[in-house]
Amino acid sequence: MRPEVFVIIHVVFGMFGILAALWMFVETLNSTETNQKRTEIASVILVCCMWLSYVLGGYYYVNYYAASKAVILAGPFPSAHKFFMEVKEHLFFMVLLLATYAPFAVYGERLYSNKGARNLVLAVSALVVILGLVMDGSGAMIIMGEKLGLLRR
Amino acid sequence: MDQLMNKYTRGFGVSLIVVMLVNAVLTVVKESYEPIIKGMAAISGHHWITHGIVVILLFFILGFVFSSGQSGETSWPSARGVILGTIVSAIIGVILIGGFYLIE
Repeated sequence: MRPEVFVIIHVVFGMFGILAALWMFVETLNSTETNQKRTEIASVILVCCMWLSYVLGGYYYVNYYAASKAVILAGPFPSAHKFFMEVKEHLFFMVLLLATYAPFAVYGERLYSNKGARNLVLAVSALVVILGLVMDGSGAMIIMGEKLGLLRR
Repeated sequence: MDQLMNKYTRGFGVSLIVVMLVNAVLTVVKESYEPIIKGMAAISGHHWITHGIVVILLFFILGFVFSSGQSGETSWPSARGVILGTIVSAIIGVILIGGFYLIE
């Protein structure tokens, strides 16, 4: 399998994770007894997608990213690695922790009758969406840095 | 009045707040002191793998520690406290990590 496949699947699961967080946010915003189950399902999909994104992206980063890094640093946009990649690889742990926490906050709580628990789930899912989009934008910058580096060769 | 929440919701919520801050501080510290990043790399083969293991393990260990000693539904810390702590911790984490690499 080509190593780039890991990056593509990493991005796909990351996007599905963001969508699951958005789904969880909307379900919680309109929380009733009937959609509690759907909120729980969204939290499980969120944590599964983010962990898959972490493992696949991490596998590529540890084993194959060094070549891309060399191209980026030699190119006209070294900040793609020095800032965007460095920030992305460390902020991602916050997204992973928030996603891992989501099922803890959803299961065992009656969100439709507990305002505190509901607001907590809203905060967690909103943070996953915002930070997830930051991850996505940073990924685009990294790809741009590598592309510009390759064009210069 | 603050409603009661499951002990795991609160315990792991406090753990989340602490570990997001630990993640940011560990990032700045390891990037600032070469022996630390080299030591972390020596443990697992890559500093980022060790970093991930540390924050994930810490999240679960602290989560169970903060959840234990509380029986069933509990009122401490308050839901408002967990929510504010999570948001503030996330903001501080972003500022510390983003700011550090911006200055670097």
